[in-house]
Amino acid sequence: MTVTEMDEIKQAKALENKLAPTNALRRNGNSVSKATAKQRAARIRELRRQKAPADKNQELPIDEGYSKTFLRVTVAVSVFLFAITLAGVLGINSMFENSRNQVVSNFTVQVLPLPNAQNSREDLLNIVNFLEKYPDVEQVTVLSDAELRALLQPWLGANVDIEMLPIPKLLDVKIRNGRNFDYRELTVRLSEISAQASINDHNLWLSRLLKFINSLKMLAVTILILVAGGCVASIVYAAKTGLNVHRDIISILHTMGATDEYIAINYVKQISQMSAVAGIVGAILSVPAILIIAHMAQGIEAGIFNSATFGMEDWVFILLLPFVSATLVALTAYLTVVKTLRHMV
Amino acid sequence: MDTEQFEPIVEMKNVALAYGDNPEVLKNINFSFRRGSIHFLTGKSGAGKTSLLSMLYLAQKPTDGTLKVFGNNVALTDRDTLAFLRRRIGVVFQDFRLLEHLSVFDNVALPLRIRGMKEKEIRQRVIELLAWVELSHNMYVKSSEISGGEKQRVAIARAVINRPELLLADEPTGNVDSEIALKLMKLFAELNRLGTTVVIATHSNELMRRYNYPRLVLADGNLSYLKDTSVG
Repeated sequence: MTVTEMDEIKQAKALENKLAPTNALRRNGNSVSKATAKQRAARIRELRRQKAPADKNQELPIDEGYSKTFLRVTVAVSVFLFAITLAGVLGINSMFENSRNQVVSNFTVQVLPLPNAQNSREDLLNIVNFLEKYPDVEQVTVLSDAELRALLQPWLGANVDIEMLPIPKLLDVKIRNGRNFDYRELTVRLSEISAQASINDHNLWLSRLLKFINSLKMLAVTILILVAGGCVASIVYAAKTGLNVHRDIISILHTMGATDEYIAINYVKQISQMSAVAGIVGAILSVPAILIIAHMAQGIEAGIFNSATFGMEDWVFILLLPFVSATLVALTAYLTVVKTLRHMV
Repeated sequence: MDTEQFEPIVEMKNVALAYGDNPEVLKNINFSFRRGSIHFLTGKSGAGKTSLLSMLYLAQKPTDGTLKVFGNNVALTDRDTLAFLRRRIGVVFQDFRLLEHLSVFDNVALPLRIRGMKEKEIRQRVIELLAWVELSHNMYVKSSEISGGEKQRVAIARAVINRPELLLADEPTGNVDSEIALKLMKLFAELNRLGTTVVIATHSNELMRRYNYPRLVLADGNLSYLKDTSVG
């Protein structure tokens, strides 16, 4: 017998001795011969070298079939609706911001004519001089007759001589720091210069638009809460049903010493992976839908509606939704499972 | 000096168990299992053997009296601590109670995974044990696809892989032939020799006659102790 062979037998014997039950075998008359020990050691070495199958089942399974499909569809549809709603909110928000940026950087002053043309001109000059020296005013432009005519053309037609009409003069005033501009003070100071002048600062119009947009946002948030609520309810239902179906498995796991947290994490791992995949499908399906809606919105020839933009960071928000939903699902499932298990032995 | 060494591993004082509003299935049980002892638990069918075992592996709490396991009063112990205590107990069920959707390997690995052992070490230990119980050829086969005798061996491997301090076996020889039954009894004796406290529930008189272990007899929910095993 070679030294190597003797070493192998020694190793095999040591391995046998590691296992308490093996001693029982020996005492049972099934004494382990050197050859058997060697064979077993070789077999164990071979088994250790073998790769375990990749498709490992989970201890607490989520059943294939109706329940799993229902969950997948619920999560995918929820993420789809989330994405569409979020895209809508982000689009409307950008539209409002773009419009506000355009509008708040200028305002219009309307100057009513006086009975005497000379006085009207002097009045207009005073107002222009006053405005040009006013803080934060960048530029004051008096709209020409041609420009006024173009503005009035839709109502009065092309062949009207506006000199014959008591049309007010319009001043386009560009300002810096439009958001903090104090229109009240300007109105008071301007009234001291001329009783004929009045300011149209778009704020009223903007505040109405803002109210409308806020209402839309509230509606969107309500939809999101309802969708999230539906999704959460589905997860709670699926988790409770799954736990009831697998009472026996849970009982075995508890007997082996598993804590409620161990069982919950085992379940949550599966459901999170599943909902992340379903969420990605929902998000991918939402992309063409968002692009179609965006394309249709661009087709609206209505001034401010053209200014809605959908940037890179907005797409990032949309594409993060599957992971947000997976987190929501995981949290819901974990809490449901732990709570349900507390009522089990 | 380790005082736990001298404490009884299980202590029952006036223990009773009832399911819901039904009459008590176990009544006024007073007994202690010394560390390293081995006992048969016997009695007619329906005498309460399984109920008593389920209290010992902490699946049931007594409805009356005091049950202490590893020095912990079960009634006053929180869920997580109970889970950790259960890890020190190995159970062989009469109906095996394997996780049928898992492979033989994963069933045996279960107690180690629950303990949070590293996968490499789990693999090493499970492969060794499965080689010993001669199931390595079926290692990755689902436990639903193996025979009754093989299931029995998986159940036993699962119960002992953790080197439990307390081993409870409910009719472990009920579903196997006499040769395997003999092997199992030798295994239990060897584990007991290494310090494991063993309780074997059986109503096989042949088995009890063959092994000279003290008997606990359950009759009408009452437990009595027979040290002289030549009786019965």
